[in-house]
Amino acid sequence: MFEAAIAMSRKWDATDAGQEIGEQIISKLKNKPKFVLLFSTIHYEKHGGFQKFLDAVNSKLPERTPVVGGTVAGFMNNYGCYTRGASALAVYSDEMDVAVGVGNNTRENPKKATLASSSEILDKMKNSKYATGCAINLYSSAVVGEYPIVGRRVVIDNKQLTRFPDVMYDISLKVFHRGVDRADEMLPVLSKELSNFQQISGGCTDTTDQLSNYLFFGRQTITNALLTLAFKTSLNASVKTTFGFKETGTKMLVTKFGRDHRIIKSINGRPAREELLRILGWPKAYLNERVFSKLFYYPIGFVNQSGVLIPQVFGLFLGESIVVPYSIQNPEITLLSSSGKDLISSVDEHVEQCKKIKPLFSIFISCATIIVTLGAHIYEIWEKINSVYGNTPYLVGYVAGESTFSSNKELKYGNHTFNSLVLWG
Amino acid sequence: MPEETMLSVLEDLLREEDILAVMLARKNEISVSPSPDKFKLKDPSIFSLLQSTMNDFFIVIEKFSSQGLDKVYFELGNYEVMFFLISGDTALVAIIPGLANKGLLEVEMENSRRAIKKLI
Repeated sequence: MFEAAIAMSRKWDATDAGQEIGEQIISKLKNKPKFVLLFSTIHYEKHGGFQKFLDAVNSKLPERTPVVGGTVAGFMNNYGCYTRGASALAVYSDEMDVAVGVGNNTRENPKKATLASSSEILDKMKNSKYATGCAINLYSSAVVGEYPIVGRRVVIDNKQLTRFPDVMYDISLKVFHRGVDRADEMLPVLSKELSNFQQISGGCTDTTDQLSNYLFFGRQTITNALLTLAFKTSLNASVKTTFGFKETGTKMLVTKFGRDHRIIKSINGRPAREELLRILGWPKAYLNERVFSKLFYYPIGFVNQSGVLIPQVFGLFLGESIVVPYSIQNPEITLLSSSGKDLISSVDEHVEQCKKIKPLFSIFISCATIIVTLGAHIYEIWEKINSVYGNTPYLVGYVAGESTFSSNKELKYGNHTFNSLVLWG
Repeated sequence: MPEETMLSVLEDLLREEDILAVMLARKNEISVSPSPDKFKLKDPSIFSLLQSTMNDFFIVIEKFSSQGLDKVYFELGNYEVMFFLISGDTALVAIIPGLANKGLLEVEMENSRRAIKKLI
């Protein structure tokens, strides 16, 4: 016996929306859900609060239903694509064991948090008799750093402050608990510890302003953490990552790194910011607080030790230094270029796969920059997916930082990607 | 045309933080819009000006509609105006801040356009 359903609310008020989600799940499933994956846009933060939202969802569900999720920039499901509201995927199978693991303080100690979460999963799953393991990892994505004098900004020009970018990076992370998410330190640990699980991961976010984000676990909202929803099942599963960009052929050599190899101090022997602007042919005036809407079209990538290209967007301009989300493991970086056509066609492989295997349900994680860049054209992606899924439940979350892993594929992570976890009988 | 339902679609869209004003503009007909006191414009004269010149816009829009004109954007001081065409003589029009996150707003504009199309 298997059943899955999509619930959605477009109501503005947190309590109304939560109740609607819970009621739809109950009315659509005959059995108590084995798990509920819940995505919401950030706006309930200002329309009642996430505590009320989660209380309302859970009040309608049977006791101890595992509800796991977080905030996203937008979501897509069988009904359409939305940047305001909430949607949930509820799943029941009589051949499924479910466990949830939590690791806290990911920004301060990502490895410890990841081990805490994965050991909880392994412990709870040790007696499961089912062969296929799946894990949905949601973590708190980067939040814009808080800096003395200037506050929260993404372009900081203050010469006194930016003389020591490593110190500013540390203060933001360790004192204010803001800054990069350190997902690239969590994901390899998850791959190793949960090596038998097909994994899909995403960084929960807001409207991509990166000011706040929340993870959901039952009635709790969690920040600065990793949350893993794992299940073992008799179903088949596979994961896939595709990219929405092209390589431009423009190479850059990082000639001086700062803290954690996430700070680029110089490129091609010149100050990093100055050299990047020269390469892009941009005037300095472009570097304002909305610079990322333009930079989303120009991610950078490096090839890691496993030969996998890791694409990423720029994160922060600290004087002449540039902070990026993922530690750069290879000083030779490539300028990538992302067009609307590339972003839309990045779903084609996933769609083709679904035509062959006829999924029972799917979870997709994609980059929030894609929905920001495509705007209303995101419906071109929806039409492709919906044309093969029809009424088969699926849920796409648009997040900040995406990843997949399986034991027969390398760990893939980065930005500007489209990722799937597909289950079939 | 069920104008009350249409108005509720527009009012819902206007609740978006960065949708400062919105209307359903129709050629040679009175446009449908929420009460202007619900608008978040610092300079309300922009909306009045838009409303009074919509028929002139439709003259241009009609000339391009056979070529597949779907959306029109223009910057107006600190604001940006988005036209999502519903037909050759009807458009969903919204005023947003100049530096708003347009991509996310566009998705909800598209949802409103689809909802209005169903009502027409």
